[in-house]
Amino acid sequence: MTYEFAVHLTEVLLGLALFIASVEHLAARSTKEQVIYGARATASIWLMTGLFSLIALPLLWALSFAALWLFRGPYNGGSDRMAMLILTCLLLTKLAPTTQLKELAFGYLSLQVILSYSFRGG
Amino acid sequence: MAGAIARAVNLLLPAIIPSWNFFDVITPSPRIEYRLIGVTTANDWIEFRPRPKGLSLAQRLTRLVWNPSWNETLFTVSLSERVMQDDGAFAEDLLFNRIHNDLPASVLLNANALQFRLVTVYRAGKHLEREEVYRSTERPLEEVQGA
Repeated sequence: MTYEFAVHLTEVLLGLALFIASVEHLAARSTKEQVIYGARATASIWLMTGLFSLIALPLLWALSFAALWLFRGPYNGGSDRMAMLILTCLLLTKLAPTTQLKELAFGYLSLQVILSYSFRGG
Repeated sequence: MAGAIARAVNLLLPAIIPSWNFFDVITPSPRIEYRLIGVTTANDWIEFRPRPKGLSLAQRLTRLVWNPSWNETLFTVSLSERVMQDDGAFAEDLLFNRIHNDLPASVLLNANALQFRLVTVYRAGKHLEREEVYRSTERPLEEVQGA
């Protein structure tokens, strides 16, 4: 598997996970939450399909941060934190100036995912 | 400003540098019970969102990908754990709000105030013991946020 394909696959899977969680959350009644999670559902479709790919990641990062801020912590516990970690690392793979730094960011994500699975999910 | 930055760092750091130590201390999760208080009466305590007694295979499979209500229930569990920590007033406000939103208007009709308590259930020999660990004040319904 190439690095580019692995990054793309991560984007599609994360997009799908965030889309489902966001649509589930839209059952919530608060207007503020509806705005954040409605926007997150839309941006996660962009992330999955590659549409508006330049703004999808930063927008999802900002919305996830807004949710953390609003609830003063994660709403869905560990899965919100994991989403934030993946979003931050994916964002770094786009923003880092050199290929080496991009790969370092993605490598860090891989390491954390393996650690999370072997320590807690295995 | 400095406070906001510190809060942002506090929120982001556990996500970006995870410890994978999900539980600092293993303790029983409190159950949430609520009651509505009328002018002269107080109802019995009612369990908030009791777990379903049984689920069909199809229901279980659907719930793997679609279970909005359970997501919210898990959030109320984490709020109930936060009620007794720093910033407990914020968690309590949200918990009042979530319980209130769950109750149909017909149930709220004759009530003036809402109260909740947190109960831990643990096994003592052959019996299940229940212990009340927290009891909120009676909050008038018009003061419940989002009411």
